Amino acid sequence: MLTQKIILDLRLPRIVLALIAGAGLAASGATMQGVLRNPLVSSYILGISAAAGFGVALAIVFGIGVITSVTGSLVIINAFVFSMLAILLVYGIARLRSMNTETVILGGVAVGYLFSALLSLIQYIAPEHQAVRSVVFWLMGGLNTATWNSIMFVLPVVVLTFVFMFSQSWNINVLSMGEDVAKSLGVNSKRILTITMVLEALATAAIIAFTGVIGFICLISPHIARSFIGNDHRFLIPGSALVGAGLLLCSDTVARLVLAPTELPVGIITSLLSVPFFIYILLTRRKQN
Amino acid sequence: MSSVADLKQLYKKDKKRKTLGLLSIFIFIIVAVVVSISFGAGSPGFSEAANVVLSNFFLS
Repeated sequence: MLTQKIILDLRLPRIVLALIAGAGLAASGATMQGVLRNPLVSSYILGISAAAGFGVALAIVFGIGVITSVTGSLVIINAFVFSMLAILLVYGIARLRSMNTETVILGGVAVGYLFSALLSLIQYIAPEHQAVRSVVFWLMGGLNTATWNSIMFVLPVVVLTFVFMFSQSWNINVLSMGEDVAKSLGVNSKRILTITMVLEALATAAIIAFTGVIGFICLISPHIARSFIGNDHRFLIPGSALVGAGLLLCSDTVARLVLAPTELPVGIITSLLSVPFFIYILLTRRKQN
Repeated sequence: MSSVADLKQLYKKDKKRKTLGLLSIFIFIIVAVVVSISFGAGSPGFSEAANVVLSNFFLS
């Protein structure tokens, strides 16, 4: 009975959430890198992580929530709603200046800095140290709160957004040749940019609302997949999703075991494992496609 | 790049290698799941974990 509880209620939800979250973040990263034609772009480029962090800080430090009636889910709802607010702001800024890749990236950076500053302000004026500690812990990411209920929310969002991202993979291939080529081949780059931006934001917001900010998966997974699959987004998007799923699962396993029974935040492990690998890939990357 | 046909031709090559790449990552994930479910809080190892998963999801 105890064995069953440990496996079904502790380990399995965590493994499943790691696979879903890793796949969702990595697919979003691959899509954004392709659409924005920038290998340094990740899912967090649109200021989502900072906005979610701000929402979580509001909930933890001051108990302020967007939907206050659901007290147990204040952190999750705030993280999700503020992530979507960030994407709305970026979209609004980009729309003011003809919706191109530069304005989206710069708009995302600006919104990210805005929410980072607000987050720092909350941490500075917070009356309790324990609350600040909780916020910092959330910002490091973790899968220790994984339950079947959280999976029931994250799974449909990630699957749906993945299907829509994958359906745009040929258009992203065309777009990666440049906006002029895309235009001459009948691909509307602004439309693709808007669609992928919304999908990416939705997937990332749903994931980090439950896991906290897990860094590097969305940046490095597409690079790893690209190194042996190439630049064809029909293969690269599913390939990145698989790499992201595997990478986050391995990182979480290491985070659980390395200092057992104490657990490390998985965000620390993803960065520690990913950075040397990332540098290795950059140094040995072959010119493909 | 003059047409969609040219672009399709460009992306047509190496499909076998790409599919093999996807398959190998998938196998890696299965191994990672087996390792992850076999270690952690509490005592159950791989055989107990496999029994629980099989009896609850596949043999019910």
